[in-house]
Amino acid sequence: MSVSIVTRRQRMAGDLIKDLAEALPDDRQPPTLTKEQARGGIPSRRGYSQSNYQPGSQGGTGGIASPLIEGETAPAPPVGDPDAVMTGTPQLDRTYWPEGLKSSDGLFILPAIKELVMRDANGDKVLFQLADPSAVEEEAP
Amino acid sequence: MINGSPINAVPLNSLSASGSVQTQIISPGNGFSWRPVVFLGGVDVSAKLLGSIGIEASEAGDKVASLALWLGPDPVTIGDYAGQALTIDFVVAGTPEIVDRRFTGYLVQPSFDPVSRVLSCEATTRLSDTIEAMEIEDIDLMVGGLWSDDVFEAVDGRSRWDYAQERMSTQAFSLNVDKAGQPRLTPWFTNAVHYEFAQGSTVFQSVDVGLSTLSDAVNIVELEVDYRFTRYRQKDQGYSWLHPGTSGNQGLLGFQAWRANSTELPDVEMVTAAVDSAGWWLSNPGWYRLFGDLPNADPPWYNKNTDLLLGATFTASVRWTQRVIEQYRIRLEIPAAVAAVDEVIQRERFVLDTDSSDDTLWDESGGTAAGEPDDDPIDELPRRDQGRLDAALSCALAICQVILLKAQRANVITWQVPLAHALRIDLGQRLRLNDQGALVTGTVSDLKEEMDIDSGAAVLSISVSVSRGDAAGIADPLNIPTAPVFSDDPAAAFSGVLPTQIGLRAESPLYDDVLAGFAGSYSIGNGNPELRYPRRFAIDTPEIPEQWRDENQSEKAVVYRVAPPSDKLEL
Repeated sequence: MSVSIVTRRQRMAGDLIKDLAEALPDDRQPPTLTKEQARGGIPSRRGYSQSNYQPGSQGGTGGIASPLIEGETAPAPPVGDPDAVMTGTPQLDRTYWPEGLKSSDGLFILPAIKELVMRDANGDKVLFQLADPSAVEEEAP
Repeated sequence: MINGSPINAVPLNSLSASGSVQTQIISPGNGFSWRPVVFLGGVDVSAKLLGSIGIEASEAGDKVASLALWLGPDPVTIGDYAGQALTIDFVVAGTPEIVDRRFTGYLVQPSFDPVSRVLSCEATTRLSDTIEAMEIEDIDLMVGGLWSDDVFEAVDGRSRWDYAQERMSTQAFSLNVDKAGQPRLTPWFTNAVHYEFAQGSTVFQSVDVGLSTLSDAVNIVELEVDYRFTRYRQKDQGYSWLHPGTSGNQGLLGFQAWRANSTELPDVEMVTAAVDSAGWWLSNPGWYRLFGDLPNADPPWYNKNTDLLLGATFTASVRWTQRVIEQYRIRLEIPAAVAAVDEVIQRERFVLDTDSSDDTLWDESGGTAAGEPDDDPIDELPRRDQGRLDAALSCALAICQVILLKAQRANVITWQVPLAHALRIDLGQRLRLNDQGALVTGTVSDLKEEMDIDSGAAVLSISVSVSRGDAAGIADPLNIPTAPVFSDDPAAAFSGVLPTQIGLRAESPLYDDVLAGFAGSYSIGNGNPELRYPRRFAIDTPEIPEQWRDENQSEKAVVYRVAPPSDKLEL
């Protein structure tokens, strides 16, 4: 028997084994990614904030609460009770016009208040701003 | 001396220096006489040999030797033979004698016939046992190649032999053993031809041709790699609001205009709370505040509540996560082979996934760089990892390239030569056969030697794998493809300009609770107090479309050309 026939038979036997092996089912599954749950969009949302009381507006009514006490340092109402009626010791808190009010004979000059600082019962500052009487006087005929 | 040079004068494993190899011609040799020298467990058993000795070496795996020993009439302890070291030397008579080590291994499966008292021995080089006993780092060093735990499985607790095979699957080399029994790599391709078998040097009529079947000659690999990860996303929406009483003016001018006809105003806290209540958060505010005390104004103005606003610009933001899949659709092809035999396709697929359980940390992080103090910093969330993807892609590309190279070298040519004339032929060498009408080049992939003690024939069967490539073929470098781009569907048009409605005047319309922006009342009104508007601030956030949040895919298609080396196959 020729050597090449032996070799050929061996090779064909090897091929047969390979073919048989390929005929077996392949148990290798291609890898897959697990399906993710759909998350959905984020809907449009309304952001809302309501506060009917505006700070400093006294509930929207405004105005000056009696009594008025002179002096910027007069006591403020207690926190949480803005309606408490405040009293206190008045302190001088006023500025004067430099000229003032002349007496009719012109001998005396009475001091004239330019600005008077008061504090109302809510603790808010109230200003009295008065005119210069000397200027009015000079304009008089 | 064999063919003019001493045996073993050149290291057998020096294949990597193939560029400097000089082709040696193997011419028809003279007759020779030989004898085998076999040591089993350190004892010379040459005198007990019966029949023939066979040694088979395949490029992928062990060398296997089989022989038979007559153990004589004395009692033997047969169980002791398994595991004993076995060496086989081939000795060519002459002056001096040439002694060539053909096999170094261990007896693995002896069988004993008590009647004939013949011990049949199967010995192997125990390659897988050797690899299994190695440390991972040592395997990496010895085997080389590429590896990624996304392409293969994590290595812990798994067979080191399988691990070595996985690394081997990424390179055009084979893992086998040398004649001393040591593991080594031999290449599939070398440029230089180590030996040429000249006319008359091979055994007459021994040439055998084993051609690959067409369905095995894969010429296209369709590779799919999917990479899923989480995108950490954020939407910023700009808003602006300006009180209409300012007549569009800012600064003192706008304030004076508003003061002439004053109304309620929103404040910083309301605007912030409105954004919060939508589940978004506010940043980059530009507040147009109501002025504080202006004693020199005419009339003078006193105000403590400077958080009240005449206008505002701000950004509202929301965060969400989106799972996305980068789909790489890669085709590796051998154009010349496709043109010749049409498409023969093999498919491969690998996936990379990331954990999404921490995604909510981002959703809830709300503008802070980190989430809750006990949580992982947001910066450490599993972001897209290019390094991981690169490792997997380059590994997968290499596997597919090797599949193609292997499929194109399945043509095997076998011939036989007298063993003594070809003692230095080894796996991985490139040979040229120029005898018996064949002109073939190829790389040695199998060696079978048969030393027949009875007949005195010692023959080596040499099988070479012939690579079927196109000499002019172009191979593209296996560069990592660039990432596909994810595109968002366009969002619905959205305006961040907030309107205003002011009530409590006779001419004021009824309160509109749908209208966003600011609603309030005039400070001095003449309308019905029952119809007073609430003082409120409202924003509507834009919708984030489903497509921005649901899992999304983007595909990248790439084609690489592969060019196997070109061998000769003329018969």
